[in-house]
Amino acid sequence: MSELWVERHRPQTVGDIKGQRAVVDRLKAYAEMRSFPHLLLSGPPGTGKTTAALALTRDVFGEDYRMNLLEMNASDERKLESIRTKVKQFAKTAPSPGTSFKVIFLDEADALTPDAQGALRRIMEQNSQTCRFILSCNYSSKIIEPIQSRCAVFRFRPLAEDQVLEMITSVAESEGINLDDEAAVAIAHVSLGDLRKAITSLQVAASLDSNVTRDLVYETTATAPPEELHGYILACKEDGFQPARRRLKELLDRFGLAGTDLVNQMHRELGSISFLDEAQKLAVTEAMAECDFRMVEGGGEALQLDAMTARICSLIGS
Amino acid sequence: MAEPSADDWTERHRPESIGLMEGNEAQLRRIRQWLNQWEGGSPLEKRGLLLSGPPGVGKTTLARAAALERGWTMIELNASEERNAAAIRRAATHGSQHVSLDQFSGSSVSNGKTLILLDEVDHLSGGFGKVSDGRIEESINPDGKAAVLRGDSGGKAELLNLLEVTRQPVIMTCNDPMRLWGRNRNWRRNRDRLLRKAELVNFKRAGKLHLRRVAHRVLDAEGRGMDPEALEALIDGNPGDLRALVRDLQAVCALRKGHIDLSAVLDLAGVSERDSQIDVFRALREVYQSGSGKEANRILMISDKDPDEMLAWFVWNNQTVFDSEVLAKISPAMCMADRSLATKYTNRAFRSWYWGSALSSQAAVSHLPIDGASDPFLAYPNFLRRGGESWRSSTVVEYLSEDLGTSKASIREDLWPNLLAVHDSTLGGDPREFTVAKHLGLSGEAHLALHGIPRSRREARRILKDFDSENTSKPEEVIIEEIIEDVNSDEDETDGTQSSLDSF
Repeated sequence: MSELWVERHRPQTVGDIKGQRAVVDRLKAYAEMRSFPHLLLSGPPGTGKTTAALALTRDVFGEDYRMNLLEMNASDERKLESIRTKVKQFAKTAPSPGTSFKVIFLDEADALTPDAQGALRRIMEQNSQTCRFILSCNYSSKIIEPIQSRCAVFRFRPLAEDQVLEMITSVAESEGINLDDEAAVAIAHVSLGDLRKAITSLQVAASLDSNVTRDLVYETTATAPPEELHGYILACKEDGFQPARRRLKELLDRFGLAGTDLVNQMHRELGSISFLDEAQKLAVTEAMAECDFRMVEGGGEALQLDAMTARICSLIGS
Repeated sequence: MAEPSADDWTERHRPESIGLMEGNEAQLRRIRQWLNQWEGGSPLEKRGLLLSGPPGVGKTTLARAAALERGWTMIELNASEERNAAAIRRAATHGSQHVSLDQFSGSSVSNGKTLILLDEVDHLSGGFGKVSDGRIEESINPDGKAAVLRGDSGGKAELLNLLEVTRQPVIMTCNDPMRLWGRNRNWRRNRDRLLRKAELVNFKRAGKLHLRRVAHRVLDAEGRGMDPEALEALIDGNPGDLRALVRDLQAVCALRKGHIDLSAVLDLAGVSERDSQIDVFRALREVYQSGSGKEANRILMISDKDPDEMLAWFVWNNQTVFDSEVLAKISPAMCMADRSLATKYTNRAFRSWYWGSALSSQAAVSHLPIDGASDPFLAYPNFLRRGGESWRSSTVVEYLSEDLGTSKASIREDLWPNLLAVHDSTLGGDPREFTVAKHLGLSGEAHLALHGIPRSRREARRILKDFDSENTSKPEEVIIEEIIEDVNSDEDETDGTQSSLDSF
């Protein structure tokens, strides 16, 4: 159980990647040609950017792909200096025998300073015969335009819930975990389209009990189930301050939530609440954002959450 | 399996002579003249060219083509190398002298010049502060000790020195000259010092005609065919960047065998739009029409704009989408969104980002647009605009920048939007109210420009007459407090007469 499931179940070839159909089709064509241009992969976390980069490199170079790959992420030193030394050195050395180029994979490239990005662009051009760059980022607008101009840009979308369901079901199966349907839906709900988060949640839950149930998922991920959150907001509307306050306290204790987590999860549920109109939802959103802000600034959790409850009660109470 | 080809079309089809380059005709003509003068022998007064412009319009290509077609050698220093004073002196300044000595002694290459190309000079970090010659020499010949100079220190000062002493043509390129002279209060002096020795040539984005020509040339050379409407679709999505065009061509040709039709291009566009092409209007329209905060959030998730930028789009467009009553109702939410985004920086509370987009998108769907839920009229946020977009703003901006002693960029970004807002007639601006314009010492024409009144209108002439007949003397000086903002201001520059607009 020491290995991370996220790593163990990472697709090895481009063809194995689930979801991102439009992107994968194109990457497959590159894999067949055994060549590709500089790539910029952009999209939210857990949507397969790193997986796609590694799988493509493996498809092109085979099992020894690490010989031809320099992988750098935000944990490595990536100041202007290291771009000028480490990256440039690697870009300049000849590719291993039998291959025509090497790959430099810069994960989280939006964390590179503009100066470092500036240094990159001529390296990308001057060594394009022998070296390809793959950059990944959350927002492509954080990458300077000259680099975007040098890359084929691919956008990754958050995974749909059924895609996440399909993936975790197959992971659970191969790990010999008993995952019931309700629990699978809960994991998909918690993950918000982030497959890495989904698989990690599954692993954490499974480490306690190989029979993964819905309750176990919510407990281990420190997430309150939607009906509990609905219950709180309904209590604000119908029952008034004291009952709503009791429910909130119970939620915090039972699921081991921090105040800011709770507020955040509660807002994500707000969208699916049918007994409030959009203008009321805006008012409630404001109350939640204000509460979150005060807690982030160091306000006391119990006090701020009580104030939020009072305000929501007065906004929507009947 | 196709043969593994490591070829990059953007390199393979880089023009090898200036004559093959597309677009920027006047600029190229001027550069030709300058190059021809170098053939004449004696160094000119302006020994450098500073080529400025957006990516992919041919700045680096031009320098290379110039050297190639004239048989000159070339020394290139770009941002991928350390470019401190010692590095530039060793590679460029010394080089710029040595070759001329060869010529002196009547060596074989009688007219051979060495073109010195300093790419991306706006990415030289640091200011124009000098480092002593002693330290530079020590760094060049380290005497066993480690090199003294690190990073780019003294690089900009050595640039000035190089332009002063060079006997060879020097070409520098940059995307944003403002970045080269820096945004501190010495920017103007830095600019003047550099432009005394180097001529600034502005490259423009490539037009459709040029994009088309380049595409045809590349396709012919590669022996590939493409439907005209497919090519038009590719060009329509291109922001005037020739390199991106060639790269897109390579991408579609790699993915389709044989003739390229429209579907191939649309396929590619589906996943590979560059940031500047993303259809944010579509996303906004969908948000305003969605009528649900949940749906709005989903749309924003896939829009690939970060919350900061999205907030700007909302703030701007809410003004046209909602009536003033709704605007007043949602303004607390918008303020809170703004504050949440700021909290991310001040408190490193990255989750605050969430509230930035949650609040602004919920605000956008919480009330009905002015004309029901029908197609809202959307506009590009003015304060996101950069560059001289409007013919009438440029002279006014230039004047204000001169008069207030600050950069044009900061006038455009900080002062200009406010001036426009104050003068906007829909917000109660009166074209016969001259106080602001007079106070700033603007001309009557500039006053008209601020109100967006074309001079051809009859009303314009009357306003101009009234403007001139009012007391024209500039009232008391506008007092601008000075902020000492640049920590690494250059030691050798004590010019403190310029003030910063940030104090507004």
